[in-house]
Amino acid sequence: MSLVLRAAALALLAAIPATAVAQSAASIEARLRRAEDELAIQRIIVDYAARLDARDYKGYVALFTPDGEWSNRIGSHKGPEAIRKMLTTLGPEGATNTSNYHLVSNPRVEVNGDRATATSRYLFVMRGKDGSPRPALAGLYADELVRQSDGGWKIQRRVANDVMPTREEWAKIIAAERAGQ
Amino acid sequence: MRMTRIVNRFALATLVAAMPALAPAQTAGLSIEQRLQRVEDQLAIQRILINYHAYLDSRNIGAYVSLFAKDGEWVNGSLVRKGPAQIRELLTGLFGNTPPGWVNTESYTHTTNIQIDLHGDRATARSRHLLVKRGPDGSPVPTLAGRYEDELIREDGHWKILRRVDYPVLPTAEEWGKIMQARRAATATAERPKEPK
Repeated sequence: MSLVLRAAALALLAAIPATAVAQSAASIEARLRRAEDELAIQRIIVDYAARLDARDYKGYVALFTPDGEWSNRIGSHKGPEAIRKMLTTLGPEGATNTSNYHLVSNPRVEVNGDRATATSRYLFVMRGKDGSPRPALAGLYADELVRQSDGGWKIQRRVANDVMPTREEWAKIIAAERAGQ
Repeated sequence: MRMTRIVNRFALATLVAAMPALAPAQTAGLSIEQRLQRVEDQLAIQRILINYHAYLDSRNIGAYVSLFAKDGEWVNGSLVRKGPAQIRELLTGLFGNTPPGWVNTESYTHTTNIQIDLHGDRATARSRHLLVKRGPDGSPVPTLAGRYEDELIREDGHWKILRRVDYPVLPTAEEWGKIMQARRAATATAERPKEPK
């Protein structure tokens, strides 16, 4: 009996370090995954502006899930076809764009398992009268993201909240510009 | 020609020899877990720098104060505020008490160009800030550009700002003072009750 107990005690002692090592490895894996997730989502936020500004519509649409949705105060576009159609109002795919670009900053990413939320700031800069950059539109993106089967992340919902100018102010600015042309 | 080739080869050999020493210099001798900790620290400090303006722009004074260490310090020129009570007073003096649910649609700040150097439980950081305000027609107007130099400390397992120094660049502190003075004078004139005619 005492031999059995001794053997059991030895087995337990031998097992403890192995379990601790396994737990530590799992913990490191989970922590690493979290850091990678945050960096991957930060990259999506920057890629979004890069693809939009480069008129890379295929690349832009690929950032969204198949049921992905883009919306602002004016309307909503859901699914790849609708999102792609929204982009075509900006001109032909792949056209060189020297008229404007987006600065994106201040990403705040919250990962919760296979889902995440993120906010970021955007400043839409347009070409001014003499060619100088003119800050035209500033706002806040609010995103919901989902981890894909290949481990990557996609946007399921992006809301573009324009802050300056408001929709009404923007309409007045555009009307004044058209009248002045 | 031959001499050039020899020099080029020598330069390439020197570069190749130097590369391994340059790349992992900061992580040499560290375990995987220690290297992971450095990545987590970097992300955590980036987030503090971004939260700083998220809280300031939304006038979330409690959260803003909580970003600083127990004896944390905020410095801008000769203006120095040390400890949570003084830092809170700085904000309530500037903004008053924010009504619940208030949303700032008048201004916000871009935080960019973040550079972080880790030294165990201490760190230093540098970043740029650009304050954007609503212009007369509603357009965003870059109003104040500057840089921060921060010292951070790991306090009870969380990174906190030990010292933040704000260096205004465009406009200078003196120019900004004049702008604010003119703005206050214009507001006071606009708000003065008109004499009955």
